[in-house]
Amino acid sequence: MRCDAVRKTVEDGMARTPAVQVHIESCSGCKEYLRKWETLQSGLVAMRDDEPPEPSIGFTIRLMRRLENASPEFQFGPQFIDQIGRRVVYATLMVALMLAMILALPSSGPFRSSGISESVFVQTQVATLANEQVLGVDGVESGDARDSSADSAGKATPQARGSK
Amino acid sequence: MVHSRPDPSKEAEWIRLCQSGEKEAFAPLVDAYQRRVFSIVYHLIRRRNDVEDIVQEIFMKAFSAIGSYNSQSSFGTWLNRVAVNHCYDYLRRQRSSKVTYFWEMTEEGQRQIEAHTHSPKEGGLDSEEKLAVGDLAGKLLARASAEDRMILTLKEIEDRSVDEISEILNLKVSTVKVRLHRARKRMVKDFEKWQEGR
Repeated sequence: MRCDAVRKTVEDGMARTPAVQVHIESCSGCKEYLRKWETLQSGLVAMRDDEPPEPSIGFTIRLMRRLENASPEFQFGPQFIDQIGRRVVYATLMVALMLAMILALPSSGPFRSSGISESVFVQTQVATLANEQVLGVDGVESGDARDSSADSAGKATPQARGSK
Repeated sequence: MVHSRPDPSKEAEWIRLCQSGEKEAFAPLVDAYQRRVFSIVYHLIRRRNDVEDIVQEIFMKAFSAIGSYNSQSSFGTWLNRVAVNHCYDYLRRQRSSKVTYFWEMTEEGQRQIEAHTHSPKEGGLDSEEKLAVGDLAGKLLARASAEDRMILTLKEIEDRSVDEISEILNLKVSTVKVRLHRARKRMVKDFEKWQEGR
């Protein structure tokens, strides 16, 4: 029999079969190991005599008072879970709604994405300036300015062009 | 170590009330199980002055988690699991902050241990020998890892069966047996180190 199996058998307090007994008698390592383990086990068993302390008077009352004063998560187990669960659901819905709004809104609207909006804004500014020139604000000839402004306007407002 | 259980139907009713938010129903559960929890905590941590505070924390945790108790195991086993997990965390924190030394024993204590190791008496230990080997075992246990300490305490001091331990620790029976064997081996090795160092 293998040493480990023999030692386990004895440690577990199982009956020492003849094979186990023969092995222990013939194996000095197992003999020594088991002698030491049995000493330690006697010590551990002796520790059972060491009586644990008794709960002090009023232990339960103090505990109940502590529960009373504890934060809400200690108050009611299932209600706490219910509250947290509801908050998680509401928070998830809010986030989903906000995402949907961001994705669904048109790019020309007030919440347009910054990349497109900046170029549109610049082009609109250019168109505005060009219009001012056409209307004689800067004293520039109207023809060329109008053409370029129309192009810009066309680029800037593809939807407007399309909607026509 | 036998602790009497409260009436199962009453206990079930208290648990049901706690789970529906009736805090007051927790008090009879505390009364019924406090001694058992005191015992397991004391045997695990071995610090008399800290036991009561730790047991309070365990019951607080148990109350906050009582919604998750589903009667798959007995309430006592479930509570033991909460207690053991809490003590495990406590022991790991303690162990990381303390330096473990091989201590000095009295010569007489050492002599008694040697005598018992080499020729154990038929009738068992007398009171002085019990004190000496108990002292030795306690010190070796204090040096053990939190895992070893827990499993050895539950088996050898609390005298739980392997099946009970597997329920408390939520492990398979075969795993408990393997861990027990390894913990015992390590304790014997530590004992040998102590003997060599004398």
